[in-house]
Amino acid sequence: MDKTVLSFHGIGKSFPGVQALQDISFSLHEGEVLALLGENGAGKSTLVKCLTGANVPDEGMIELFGKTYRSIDPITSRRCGVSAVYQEFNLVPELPIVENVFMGNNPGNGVIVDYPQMLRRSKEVFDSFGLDIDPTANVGTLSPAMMQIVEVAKAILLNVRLLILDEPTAPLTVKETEILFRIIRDLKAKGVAVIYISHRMEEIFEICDRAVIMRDGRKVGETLIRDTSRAELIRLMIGRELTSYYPEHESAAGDEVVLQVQGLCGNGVRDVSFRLHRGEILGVAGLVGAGRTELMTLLFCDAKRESGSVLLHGKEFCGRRPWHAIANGIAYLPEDRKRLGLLMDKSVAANTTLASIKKYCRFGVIDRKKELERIRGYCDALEIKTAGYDKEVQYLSGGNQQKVIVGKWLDTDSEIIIFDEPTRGIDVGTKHEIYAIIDRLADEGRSVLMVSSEFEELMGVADRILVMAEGTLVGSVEKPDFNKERLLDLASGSR
Amino acid sequence: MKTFLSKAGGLLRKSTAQLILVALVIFFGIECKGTFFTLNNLISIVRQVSTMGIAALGISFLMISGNLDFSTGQVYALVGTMTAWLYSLGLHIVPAMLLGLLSGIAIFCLTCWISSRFNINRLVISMAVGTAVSGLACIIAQNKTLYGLPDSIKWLGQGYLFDVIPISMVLFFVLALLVAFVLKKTYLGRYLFAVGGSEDVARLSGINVNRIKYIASIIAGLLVGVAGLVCMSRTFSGSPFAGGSLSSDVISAALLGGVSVTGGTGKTSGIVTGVIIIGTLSVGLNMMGLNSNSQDIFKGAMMMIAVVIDSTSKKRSAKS
Repeated sequence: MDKTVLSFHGIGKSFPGVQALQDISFSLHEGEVLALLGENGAGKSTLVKCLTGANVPDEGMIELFGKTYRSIDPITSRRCGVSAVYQEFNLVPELPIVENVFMGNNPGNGVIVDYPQMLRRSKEVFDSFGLDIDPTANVGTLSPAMMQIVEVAKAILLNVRLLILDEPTAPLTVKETEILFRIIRDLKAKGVAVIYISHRMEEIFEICDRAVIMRDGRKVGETLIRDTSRAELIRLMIGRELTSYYPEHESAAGDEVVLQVQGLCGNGVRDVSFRLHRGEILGVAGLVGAGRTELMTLLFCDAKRESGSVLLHGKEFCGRRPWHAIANGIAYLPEDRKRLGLLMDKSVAANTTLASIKKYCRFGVIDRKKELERIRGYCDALEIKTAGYDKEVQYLSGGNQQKVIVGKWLDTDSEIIIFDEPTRGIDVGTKHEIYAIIDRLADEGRSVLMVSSEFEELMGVADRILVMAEGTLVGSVEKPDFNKERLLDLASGSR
Repeated sequence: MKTFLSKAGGLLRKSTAQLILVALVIFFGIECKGTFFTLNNLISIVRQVSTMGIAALGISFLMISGNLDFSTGQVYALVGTMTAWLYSLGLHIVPAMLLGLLSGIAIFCLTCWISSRFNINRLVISMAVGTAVSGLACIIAQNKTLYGLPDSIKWLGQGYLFDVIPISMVLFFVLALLVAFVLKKTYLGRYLFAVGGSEDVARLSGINVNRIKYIASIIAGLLVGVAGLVCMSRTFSGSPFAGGSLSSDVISAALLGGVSVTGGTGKTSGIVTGVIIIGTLSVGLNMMGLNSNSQDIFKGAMMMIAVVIDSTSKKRSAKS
């Protein structure tokens, strides 16, 4: 029998107005990778925080390495060997890797830090990962993937016995994910228990042994991964059957070319040419760093074009600023919604009409009634769930925030809508709604460019997929030829 | 009960400035035993603050769009000095005043240009510009206060409407209404808040961020200039030293009124209240017989309180 590392016994936690956790019980064994699944807001983070000491549970017991606690404080948690790696890194970019991995844990005699030992030990850890990383390099120079690995190294140097990974692969490419998985398997062989939180189903089936599914603060299921299926897990997570994950999509693409790009260069993008038709959903696939977002910002005129031409309806378009692009019916929904897409502390109304407010003005004065009427229209049509139009968007869920941005671009009468990772950080149930919206936009005769790192998503939604690698276009795949391996091959640069 | 309390809490948070003002008025009312509440005294408070208030309205345009400026006092002094100097050169007073205003606008635009061209925080540039402007004002006035202005400008700073209400006070309230209208009802207002909220979001929504910053600078320059002219008329002279602690006073007032240091928030009613708080404080302390040095300590404390309120209210709203 495996040794039990951790057991939750009837954990409950409430915040003012919300029962965040209710009667959660499960246990975790040595050398086991446990998937903790659930939609956003299901209580996964709250539960994990009870373990790292950031939250104090109201009810229940936590049994950690044989000892029973009512609540755990951060110091105990750390001393027991619990380490968490979050999506937002806890690193100081201006400091070298070696200083980061030993932060708060520096070896030495209490006065002088034993730097050679730090260097040696960090080097050993990276060697054990099979990675050639210079520990004296600044963290700021690393890719997000490497930062993630530095975080894991930091945990290992703290003698981790229970590692919590919160959406670790969100910023990683396929290759980098493999490295991370290899590290996880190593740790597992050494008897480290892992709690793995992710929205990506494929990964769960690849790396995890067991899954605990949460919904609305309760545990709704627990199953061995080998005994379950993707559909089953999704059903448990959202509490209903998703008949089809992607909308039934009949291509609405016409022959009319709306956008034609020829030999476009600039912003790290080299020599890109393609056509976008009316009513078409054109997927743009590629690994992180392939230049997809760069291409999109170039089309949106938020970066300087060096050469090449862009034709809109056959007419040369040489805008230099985003407002030129918007005036010509191009819309851009950035990947980083919270930082680039929305004014988080402004209302749903103000965000919806931010790009089109001049439409509602006479002599610069806003016709508030007309504006609200239109906003109501979008909220109804897009089923935006909000307590009111004057509610600040920061209180909305990720999916509803995304819908507000869609509404904003519908209001500028956009013909070409660029979605950059439209479902990142959005839970499974709402993803479906976003796909349906994209589908409807295309049916209404708008053209969609959709950037995504998830090949499956593109294959489910797009009519055609362009593949980018190293800043240029390396292939275009038609719908009948959609195939994950082929896309991955192209994206990895093997032509 | 719970919802009532949270509603009351929300109301308290929203009207911190008004509450501080009420507390101050009660405090001085008790301390000064009734003399504080005479009509004359109240009018004198508003009159005292009307120049500062007009300047604060201008600066809040910059602050809402996310730009702090620390050269208000110097520009304010320059406008008066410039006008008096041009008049002494033989120019008619009207074109002299217009050129004075223009110099204020030009300087704010210059600060704006440097900060956006080289992508540097406006606060730092404005300190450098402020120092230079102060030097310039001293040179043109040859380190003296310029007298000899025509009687025809007295009405602006010393005139009364119906013999009781100072014209400068009327001007302040009219301008405040105008500013409230612009911030609330026009797309320029929306754009200012958007740029202050996030330049990236504003840019990606098709807003010409630089243009908005220039417009904010022009309005701020104009209003600070008007304040400078009112001051010139009141003191009936143009002095390069007229600015005093205005640069930090206007920022305190705006912060007290709920304009955030980082931009994106603020209401005109708040700014007006903030201005009146500063005015009440200095009149009240005067009546209690404190000299200006001790008053500065209180003003500094007020600014600190303002910044603390700003940052805690931001944290609280981020949490809930």
